[in-house]
Amino acid sequence: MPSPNTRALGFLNLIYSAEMIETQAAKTATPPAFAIADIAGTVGIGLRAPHYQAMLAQQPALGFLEVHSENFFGDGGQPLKYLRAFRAIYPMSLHGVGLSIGSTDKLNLNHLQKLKRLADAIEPALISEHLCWVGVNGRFVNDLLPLPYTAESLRHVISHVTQVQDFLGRRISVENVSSYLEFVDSDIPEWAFIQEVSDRAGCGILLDVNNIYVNAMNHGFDAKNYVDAIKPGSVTEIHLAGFQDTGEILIDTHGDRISSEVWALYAYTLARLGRVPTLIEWDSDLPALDVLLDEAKRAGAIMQQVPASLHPTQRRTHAA
Amino acid sequence: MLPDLQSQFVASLFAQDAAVTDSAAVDALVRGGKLSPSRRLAIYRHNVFTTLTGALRDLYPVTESIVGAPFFSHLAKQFIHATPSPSGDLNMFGREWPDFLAACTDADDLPYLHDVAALEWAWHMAFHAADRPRFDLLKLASVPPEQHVALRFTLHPSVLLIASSFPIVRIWEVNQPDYVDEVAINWEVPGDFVLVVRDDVEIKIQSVPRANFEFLRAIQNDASFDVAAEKAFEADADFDLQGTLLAAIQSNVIVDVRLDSGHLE
Repeated sequence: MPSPNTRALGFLNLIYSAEMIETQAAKTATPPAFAIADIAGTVGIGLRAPHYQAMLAQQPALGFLEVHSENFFGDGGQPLKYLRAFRAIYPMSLHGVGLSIGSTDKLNLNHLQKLKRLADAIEPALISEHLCWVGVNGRFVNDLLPLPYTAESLRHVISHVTQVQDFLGRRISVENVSSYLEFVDSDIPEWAFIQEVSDRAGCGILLDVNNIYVNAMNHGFDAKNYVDAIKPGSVTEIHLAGFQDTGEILIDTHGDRISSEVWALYAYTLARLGRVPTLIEWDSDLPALDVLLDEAKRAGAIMQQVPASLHPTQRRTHAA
Repeated sequence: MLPDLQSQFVASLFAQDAAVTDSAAVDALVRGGKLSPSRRLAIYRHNVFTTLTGALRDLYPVTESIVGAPFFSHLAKQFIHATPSPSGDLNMFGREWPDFLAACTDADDLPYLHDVAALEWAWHMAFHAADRPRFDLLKLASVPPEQHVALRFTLHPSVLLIASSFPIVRIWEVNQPDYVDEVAINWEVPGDFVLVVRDDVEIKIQSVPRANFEFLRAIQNDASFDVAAEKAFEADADFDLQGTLLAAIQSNVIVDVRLDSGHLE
């Protein structure tokens, strides 16, 4: 047997003769950055992996797409490849579920760094997080837990939002969450709390109209009062989704069509806030893409009934 | 105070004896009304365990196919209690599942289960691993032949190597949802040396000869080319060095090369 070293020598000649040299794929640059004005007055949908092929084939006329930021925190592979492909067609909104800005833990630097890397690569029109906490003492529950609405929580959230915006070098928006309980300590109405966060941290409000309705039913307040308390200039985006009524409580499942009550509240909200970019969210029991597009069309029709004068920017759509 | 409230709430969510904890701590934290505080906590507990169990199901479909959905749920519940989720990014949850199965006495009659789970975690890692350009053969042009032995190759970031005493690639194959052929497994085989790699977006799981495995493992441990070759020949005197290297470059397993003097241009 020849020594391994001898066999290792001279192996290159064989490789060269194999004609294997491939040209490296040309690097594709990120398309021009979109600003929030670019999605003004438009409707988008949540982009989920089972719809990738149908979306690429149809390229429906939508104002923007939204993804869950954490699903694109990996270093490479299929998720980022698709995200870049869609970003070349549509403005993108990055919607985080895990930053946990309401937790008393310090912000997770590793998580923030991944979010910044993604934002810098994708140049989203919007970045949002939830007004909630997702874990404490290093243990995450990966569910959106409500805060007690107190002065202490307020100081705490404002500090975290400020840190996030400073770190990212971008403004973020915070979304009101659905909840199935209220804490004894709460002494500020939820609507006043989120408005105060926006006013003092300088962040936008992502107003989930379905969550307002769900909480109004679960906790017994008038949903319209909530909407009335929100300043028109604060809201950067609206979310619409379906809930499930278990008989004892409404659960925000993102797994059904938007209810007629929520459509009515949406119309009421737009009449007050103007043509705010609106997203159809669907996560569980994901139906065919056409169902989401149908809901988007319905939202668009309601938006068209709102006087354009309520919003300074023209409606635009991207893709055909 | 907020830190205490959050600590108590999470402790209640994961309390092993739910009935005791709910009535004590939660009544002081949560308003009642239409539903009792403990009923409201139970809704969150249900959501949390459903989300985390769902994440494990998505990660470990072969494990679930082998043990069945009810037993998988039973194992998942134990795992979730024992293993805190480390991040708000759910994709980081479940890394310890193979080790958990290895130590879990309930799964004693399935000794191969944790190796199959390790393969599933490797698939997950490969799915998110960094992209790399293909091997640039021009880099080798400047290397004098006498220095070839000192070359150090780089594997694609998605490459994972798993050795098992069970035929885990075959077990994986027959448990895929679209698999329709013969489901018999030959348990007489000595086991598997498995190479996991992603080529563009396609993840490949292959059983490779032991010599190939040793060769790639040495490269992964940053051995020079001659040392890696020696490891392979120790495993098999008839190891096809050139063929293996070529195939590894062609299939995107080996993506780069350097000399210790620095990267080759």
